[in-house]
Amino acid sequence: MSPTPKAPVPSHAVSPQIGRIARLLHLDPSEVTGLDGVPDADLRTLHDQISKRLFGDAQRQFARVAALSKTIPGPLAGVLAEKFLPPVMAARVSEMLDPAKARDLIGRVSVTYLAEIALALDPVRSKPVVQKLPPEPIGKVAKELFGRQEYAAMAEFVGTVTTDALMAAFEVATPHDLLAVVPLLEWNDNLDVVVADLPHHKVTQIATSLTPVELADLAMALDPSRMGPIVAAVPAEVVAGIAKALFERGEYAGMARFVGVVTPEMLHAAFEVATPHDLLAVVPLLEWNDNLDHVIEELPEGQVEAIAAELDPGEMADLAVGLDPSRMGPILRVVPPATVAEVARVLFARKQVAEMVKFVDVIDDIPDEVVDALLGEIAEGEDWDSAQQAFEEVGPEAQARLFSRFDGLAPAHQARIRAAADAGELGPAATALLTGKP
Amino acid sequence: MTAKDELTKALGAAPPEAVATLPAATLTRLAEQIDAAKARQDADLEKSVKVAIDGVPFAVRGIVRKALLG
Repeated sequence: MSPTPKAPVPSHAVSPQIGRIARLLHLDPSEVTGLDGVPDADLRTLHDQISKRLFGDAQRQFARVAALSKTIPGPLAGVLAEKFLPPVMAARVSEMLDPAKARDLIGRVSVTYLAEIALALDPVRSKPVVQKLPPEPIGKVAKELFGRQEYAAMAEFVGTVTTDALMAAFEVATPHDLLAVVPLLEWNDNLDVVVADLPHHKVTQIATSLTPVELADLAMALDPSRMGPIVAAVPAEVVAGIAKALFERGEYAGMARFVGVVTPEMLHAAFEVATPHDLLAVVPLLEWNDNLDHVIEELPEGQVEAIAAELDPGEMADLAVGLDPSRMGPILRVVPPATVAEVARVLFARKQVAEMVKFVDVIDDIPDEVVDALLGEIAEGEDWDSAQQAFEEVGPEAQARLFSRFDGLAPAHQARIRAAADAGELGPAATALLTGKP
Repeated sequence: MTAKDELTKALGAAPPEAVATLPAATLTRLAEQIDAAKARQDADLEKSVKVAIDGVPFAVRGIVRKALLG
């Protein structure tokens, strides 16, 4: 049985680098085709080459206009620029302004004009000037650009502006703005600082304004280690909705990344909406921690029974292999012995004896009839090399527990094991235990 | 002229290796897109210069003209 087909994973965005190139060429990103496999570093080089090609010829012209700004009084320069210098040209000039002059001029022109200039700026060439600008006007420009949904253009500047300016931009962003822009960002240290320092009211706004499906989108766009403050603010009852959306899309790897940053309550909520096939897919991807132990321990019996009922023996075997045996106790108590025996049979057929025998470490949790079935499978399989190797690896108590059921084996199985011991095919531990048997 | 040559001409420099080895159709299309953007950019700048020179007050028109046209 294979997992139910899932809804397609939404594609968040075109690569930021291709988006930058499209912007430079005044094209829609969908028109820049065929570059998907090109490494980001080469796309950056290509972007800079195109930028140089487009604007390089007029560099001296722009430099002269920038120099002109020094000879015209600030108030007049601001008025003249806004009235007669189109944004595309102003952008090129801005990149060559003396930073002090830029600080002066930014307060003398309208936010609308600044926003137009920002859209035409080259994020790399403008960096020395932009970094000297105060955060307040940048926040105002960001608000204007968010209002116009110029997310791709804004994302280009994440490496250009200072941390303070980034914070100012995040402050004015609505949760839906962030949802749109975050997937486009090329992450850097400044963003880490900004996300870590987001004010409580902003974090709460994000966590409570977005729907579970939107939060799921945001979660998949962010590195979990960066989601910490936002995750903590998400109401537990919303987590089930987020998990459901992600399970439906089959975002198992993306979900598994969050195991280390969510609370036990959130894990509970997520596990409770998981189907057996979801668990089958996600469990092998989990990096185990104490929270997961608690969740497994407290899984409702009905859910474990549903797992046992819905998964076929092959899938159960996959799940067993994906789980650490020491954590299987709560599940083993509920799974019917016949199912465990079937799983054991599957593992033997796959020659995964070592995987199977390691479960004797939780031997106390395994009913006698299951141990009987396990021994029977070992005898039936006659894969003595694997059995010997696995048996020697388990602890003495588990070895003793396993052989304590030897007498209950079918005579034919007992005979096979004894024959293997006589032929020297069992390891020393098993042979020693067998010697004590009448 | 090969597609790679077309792109090199449009860029004014040799493209990065990973770009240069893309299919010819991709390179040709990219070269055409760059040429079109360059033509539009030049036209925009020319228009901007004219607007600026014609529009600024007479008193500063001289220095603006000198700045823009050299």
